Amino acid sequence: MITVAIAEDHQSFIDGIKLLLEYEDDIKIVGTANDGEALLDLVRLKQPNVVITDIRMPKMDGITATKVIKKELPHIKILGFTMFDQKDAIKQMLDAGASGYLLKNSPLEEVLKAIRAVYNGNTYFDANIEIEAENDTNKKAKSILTKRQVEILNLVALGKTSREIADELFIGIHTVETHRKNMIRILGLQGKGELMRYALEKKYKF
Amino acid sequence: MAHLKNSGVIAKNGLLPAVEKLAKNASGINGLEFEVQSFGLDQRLDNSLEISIFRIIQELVTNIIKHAKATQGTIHITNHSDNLNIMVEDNGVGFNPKQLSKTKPGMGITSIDKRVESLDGKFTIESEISKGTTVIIDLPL
Repeated sequence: MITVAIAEDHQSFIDGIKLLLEYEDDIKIVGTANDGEALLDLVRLKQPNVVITDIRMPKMDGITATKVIKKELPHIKILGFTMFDQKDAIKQMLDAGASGYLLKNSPLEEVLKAIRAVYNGNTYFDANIEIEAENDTNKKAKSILTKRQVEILNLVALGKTSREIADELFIGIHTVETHRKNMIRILGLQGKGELMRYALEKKYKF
Repeated sequence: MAHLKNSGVIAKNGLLPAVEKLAKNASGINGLEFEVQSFGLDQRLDNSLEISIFRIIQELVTNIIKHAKATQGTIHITNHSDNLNIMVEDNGVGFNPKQLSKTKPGMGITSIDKRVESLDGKFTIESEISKGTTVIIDLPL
């Protein structure tokens, strides 16, 4: 029997996975948490075989929680679970000691595969992720976004409007809107909402 | 300054290499550094359009060198498939765009405005005193 703990600040995700695992004879959920600190308490108490953790969570993020768990209970396997396939985030999770990485938009069956893989001592990466974390340093240093765009992105993450961003950075509103439009294009996002979500994930300095 | 104009010859090799060369040549003058950010320019545009765009960017870069007293300039060229966005930013002294008179020749702005208009494009200047200037041009493709 594989015992599993899940940490995720969106309860509906937890409920979805719970529902899925209910019919698996070899996997049992021993507890769930909605933030990093609660996850630590849960893991210390139940000592599950596998932990699935979101990266962005209140109180303590998944990367920090992973580090603590791997230090205290190194035999526990950890799977990162997040919205974007950001290489920096993957790398930080792996550096922290995670055995695998799943995207939230992957089918639930992937979750099963991943749990079994890491339980058996293997690693697991979502098929949509290109693993080249090690080669990252060889890439050309030029970043995709300019300093100004990163500034704007940080303010987008705070929920500021274009007008507010323009006032804060002493630039015109048309400049802000054009940067937003260009960033959506450059990052391959689908619209304003996705830029906001991207900005929120980025806030964690991946 | 004069050799900057020669960069136009490179327009034969494509817009992006020409702009990058321009930015490189313009960097270092009065401590100014230019950066180019481009997206979706792997396909060549219509030759005359590329030359027009290059001339516009050249004029804007010249303005920054001559007037802006900036240390940083950024040239953005973003292909949105149905339109092309060009944005040139600097962190220089800025000016009050309302005081730009279309009848008074100056800063080559009028000629840029005319070029953009002939391409059915949209031309916006935003400037903040002592913070910098951004020129935004949207051209239909």
